[in-house]
Amino acid sequence: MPEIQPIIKAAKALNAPSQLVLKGLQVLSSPSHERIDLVNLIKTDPQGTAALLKLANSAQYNRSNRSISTVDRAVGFLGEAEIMQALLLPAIHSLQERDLSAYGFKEEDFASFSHHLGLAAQVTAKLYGTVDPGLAYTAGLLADIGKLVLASFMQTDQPDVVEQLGKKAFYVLETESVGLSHIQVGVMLAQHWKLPQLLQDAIAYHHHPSLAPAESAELARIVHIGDMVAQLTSPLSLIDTLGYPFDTALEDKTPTEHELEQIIAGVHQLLYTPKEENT
Amino acid sequence: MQRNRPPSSSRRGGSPNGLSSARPVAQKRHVIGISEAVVYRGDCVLITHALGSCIAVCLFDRDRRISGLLHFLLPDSKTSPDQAKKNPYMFGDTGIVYLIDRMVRAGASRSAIRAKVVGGASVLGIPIKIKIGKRNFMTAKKVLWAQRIAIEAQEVGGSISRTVALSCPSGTVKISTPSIAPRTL
Repeated sequence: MPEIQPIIKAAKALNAPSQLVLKGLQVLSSPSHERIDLVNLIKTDPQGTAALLKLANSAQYNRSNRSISTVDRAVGFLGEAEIMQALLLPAIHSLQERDLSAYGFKEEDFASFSHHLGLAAQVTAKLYGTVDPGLAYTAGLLADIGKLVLASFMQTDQPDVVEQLGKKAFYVLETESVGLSHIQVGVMLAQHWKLPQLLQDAIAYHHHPSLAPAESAELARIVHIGDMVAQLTSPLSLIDTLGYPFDTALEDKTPTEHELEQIIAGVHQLLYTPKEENT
Repeated sequence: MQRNRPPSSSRRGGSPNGLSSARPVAQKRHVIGISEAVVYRGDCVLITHALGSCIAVCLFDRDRRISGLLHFLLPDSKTSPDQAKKNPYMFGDTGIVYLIDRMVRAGASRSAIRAKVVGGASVLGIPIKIKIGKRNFMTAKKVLWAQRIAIEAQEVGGSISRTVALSCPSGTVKISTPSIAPRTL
């Protein structure tokens, strides 16, 4: 039986995101929140304000070259998913400054893949209209956070792992190899950082949404579909790509082929097409 | 090299093939992203990374030394006609036809063009009603057949990610997957 205590210790040692990010996650997870709650929160933090203005003024979101200089205007210009992108992506970037090569991640790859997954969850949420797209983006961005810790322990070049690639789910190989999966480690991190229960559940059940508690089942399903879309279409060649069993217990909640193609097209548009100003 | 140009603006691409040299010269390498296509004249390697359900269509006219590679995302342009209008290379039904047309305008002979096709994977245990990888491959097969272009070789399906390197103009395709031995078509 592999020794899991060093993994637990490493998870506890991983720096938590900033207070601003954690408070932003609390606001976003509250069903009664309004956009103004996020605006007021961001205004209290110079770094958050700077990140938001930078995103709003980027070529991707602002093609008119009209400078956006206030949080209120930026928030009117961006959706909640983009606000969470401005807050969370820098935090994810700072966390990935470690050796993640066990999964095939190089430099910015972890953040890139997580962003892709987040966008896919966001587009899926918009398509079904059952979950706040900003919350779906955030849950998708955090879904694989456990890999940040597990990468230091996984030895993916071992013959017993290589032999099973593409045959078994990669999270099963993780458990067989080091005693814990990235799902379990992700939940540890989420609990340690006191993330809202909804996000903890999304991380815990993103591979098995059919087992999720009723209140978080839809968010977990949306992230599950987003993860599948990211696996199928990400431009990154990772060790666990496609080693991802779809939760067949979802049955009639499985997306149709048409829905899946709409989601893939929507993500592609977000990733590769500059937006027109919509104010 | 031409990258993602519509057929009307097609022009001769690539660099001239240099005279033989005493020292071996490294071949030029070009990376093609998702929903992109490139046409090249002469010696080079065209690479596209991490095909999941996407398809790489590798085309080459060995005699005229003109090659092309398309990395398309979805089978049918009806999924998003607006996006297809902006970028036909996103879809198999439009992208393959555009690529062939560009190659012909660059000097390839339609009857001499051959194809190799790679990709079209699925996630493990995907529900039967989700066949995006298979649909992508079937579209490539159907369009190439309609264009009377023979598929010389293919590696499609399964649950593995594939990176493709097409050597031009020989048409040799090398496929790599993390932790799996490389293959040659």
